[in-house]
Amino acid sequence: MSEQQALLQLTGIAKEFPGTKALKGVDFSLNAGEVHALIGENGAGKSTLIKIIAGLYQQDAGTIEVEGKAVEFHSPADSLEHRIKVVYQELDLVPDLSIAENVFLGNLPKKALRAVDWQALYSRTSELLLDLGLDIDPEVPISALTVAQQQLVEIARALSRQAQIIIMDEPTSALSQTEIESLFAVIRRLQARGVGIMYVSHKLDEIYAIADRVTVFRDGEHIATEAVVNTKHSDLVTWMVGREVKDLYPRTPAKRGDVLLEVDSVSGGNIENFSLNVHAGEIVAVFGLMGSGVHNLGRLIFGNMPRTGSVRLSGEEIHAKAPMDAIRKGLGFLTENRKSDGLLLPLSVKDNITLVSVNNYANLMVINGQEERRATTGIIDKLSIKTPGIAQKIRYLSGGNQQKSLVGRWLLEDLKVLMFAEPTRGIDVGSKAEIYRLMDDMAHGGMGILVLSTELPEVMGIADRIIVIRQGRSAGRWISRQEANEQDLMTAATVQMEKVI
Amino acid sequence: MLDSSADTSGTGIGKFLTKTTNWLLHTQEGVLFFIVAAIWLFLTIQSPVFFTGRNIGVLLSQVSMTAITAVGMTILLISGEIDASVGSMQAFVGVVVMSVLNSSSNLALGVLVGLAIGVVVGLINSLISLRLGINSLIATLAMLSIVRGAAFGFTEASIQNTHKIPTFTEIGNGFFLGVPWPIIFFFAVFLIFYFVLSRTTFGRFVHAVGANPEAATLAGIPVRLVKMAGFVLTSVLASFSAIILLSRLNSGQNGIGAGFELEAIGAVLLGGTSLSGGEGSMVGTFLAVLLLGTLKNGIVLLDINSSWQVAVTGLIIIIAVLLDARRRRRLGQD
Repeated sequence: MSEQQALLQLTGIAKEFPGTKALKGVDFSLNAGEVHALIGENGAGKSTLIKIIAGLYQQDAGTIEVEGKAVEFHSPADSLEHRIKVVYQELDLVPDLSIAENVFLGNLPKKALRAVDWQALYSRTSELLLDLGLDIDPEVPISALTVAQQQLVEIARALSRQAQIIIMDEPTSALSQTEIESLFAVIRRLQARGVGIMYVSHKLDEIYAIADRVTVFRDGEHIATEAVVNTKHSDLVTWMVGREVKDLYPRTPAKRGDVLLEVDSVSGGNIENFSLNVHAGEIVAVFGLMGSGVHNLGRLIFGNMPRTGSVRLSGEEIHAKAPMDAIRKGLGFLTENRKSDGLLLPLSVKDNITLVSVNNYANLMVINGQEERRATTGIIDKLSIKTPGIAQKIRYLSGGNQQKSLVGRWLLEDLKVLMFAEPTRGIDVGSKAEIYRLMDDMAHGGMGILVLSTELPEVMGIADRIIVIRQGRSAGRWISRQEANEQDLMTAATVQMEKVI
Repeated sequence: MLDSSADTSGTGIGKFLTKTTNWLLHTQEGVLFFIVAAIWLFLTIQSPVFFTGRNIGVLLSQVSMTAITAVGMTILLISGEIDASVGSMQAFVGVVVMSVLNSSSNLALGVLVGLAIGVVVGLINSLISLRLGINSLIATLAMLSIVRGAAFGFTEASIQNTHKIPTFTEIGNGFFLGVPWPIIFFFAVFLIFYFVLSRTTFGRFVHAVGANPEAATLAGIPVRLVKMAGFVLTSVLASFSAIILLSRLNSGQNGIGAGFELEAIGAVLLGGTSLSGGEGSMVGTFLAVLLLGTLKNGIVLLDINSSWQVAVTGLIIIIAVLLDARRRRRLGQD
């Protein structure tokens, strides 16, 4: 095997952004028919490497070889030319076009006079989709598909261009367990055809399920490349974090105080008649699968989605109209899509962190710069946010540090209850424990925390009480996590309701 | 963890030099500053008239109307919206204010009516764009026609100055401590809104709603209200420009101000303000207006056919977009 020529060989790749060295001369190779996982914490340089391979960035140093030939990518077109296809975490499909048009975008089959050959387009798309186990009309618009189906469309797009190298960036972050398994089946089929797959992920279990080799980056440096069978789970974590991680869930019981948040028969979206309450000192988790409404619940409570029913905070009614009222009364909300719902990319780290609390440092609308800087620096220290300075634009921070900045945004506000959807999505192993510890601290400080999560281990690890949501309705309640077990929770979340006609 | 190693440590002077070099090479303001400085140097050598107090006064007075409107436009563009109707406002506000002055002989009333038109048109623009959800470029292009129509409807010919209020003529042509009034207005408006944009919560919210309206909503910011303020501000400042122009022309003309909107928007874009919202620079706008004025002035001084003055606006817009694309590419955005 080692004699075989690599499909893709990256040597000594370096890339620098203003204020940060994203990659410090890393190597990576990919063979035909191989799944090679790339793992690392946020800020390790994975995304930058992907963008270099995709032709979006040009490396400052180092070489790229495809099948032994040195190549230079000046644009995504160059990369596609060499049959490389990146399937991004945030899929780049055109929502209003049909599946078929998306699959063959930029490459539509033509008839005479350069007119589109619609018949060929649809039949070839159907073939590709069936090949991936997706039996769906190719004329359906992308916007009608689930995230998992969209991902398969992206892969079909790669196949339509005879891609020999497919790069998957966190492909499972928005998929359910069954969807993940069918994705893996597709990956194995591609593998058997000799396609090389670079698999970028946070989730170590997946590495063991699918990858042949694994490479670990840390802080822009190459740490290790090993056959997966030769590594232990703990090795990978140690390589990624640079130290041993223990005590991932540091939840300690806090004194349960008065009821803070009361949600009474709330309906809206796919949620029907949902009630819950959160006391001071408590972490309550709502667990549900993707599509169960677990995330919408947060939006309903926050007033960011029309609702009926009542929400009270310390006895005061929260209006359903705009989040402004909820925030003023002491409710905070971190959504599951923190990037699209939270980040102000062109603004500085400071402006992002103080977005909610900026009024607290202002007198007659004039911001006291010194106070604002002090508050920002405090958060940066407290959450160990890595940034060259508070004036750095947040777009240059790594994903994990962006996430932490958004968490910090709410820490500066004097909140009674914080709703936290997918608290550790996109956050690396090392920082996960910090986030959980932070939530524990907040609860001890007398706040109430409402976690909205699709991650079972997390719910089991941190919640004082657990509510399962299924198809927008409450499907079970556990008064302590000691009484709950993973199986019961999963059953409650998945069992089909009887169909009533 | 603030990583201090990223700063170039060393002596104060070294740090200052690095900072200045970075500003000159890596920001649009810096590049603009370079260009303006180079052209000023060139014109000073080419023409003995250029670098005289009198000529610089003329240059700055001429661009003061564009500049005052561009200040509002900068804020509006950062908030993610645009106002193309400011061109026709020059005509409509002009004819209405002149006729109010003629019939009342009351300067304060005339100015107030002019600014009130700005408030009303700004509110209409924000209503169409924000409530009815029509893209603000389209909405305000429609308003450009409607307001022009209103100017033509108001009077079929130009309205002459029959009130003879002396202070009125001073607005556009007078001096204060040797400095032309239009320049004083221009600098005052610029300084006030430079401060508003960079130091107040309103300025912060303007950036936030332009960068990510959803995030701004979730952070409790009244997105529509902030954008509405941007629309009204731009329209009121456009009215102020119109009053200065009216004073300079000494007659209300229903056809004036064609292409004025392109000049104002072009200057803002050239100054480094992004068409997609969320980022922009008041200093950049200032320098861009200066460049615009310098080019027009240079065309006259070098005896080039003055018809080219109009073409300069188009040139500016192309340079603006090219600079923006270059900067984005280098910084690895998009």
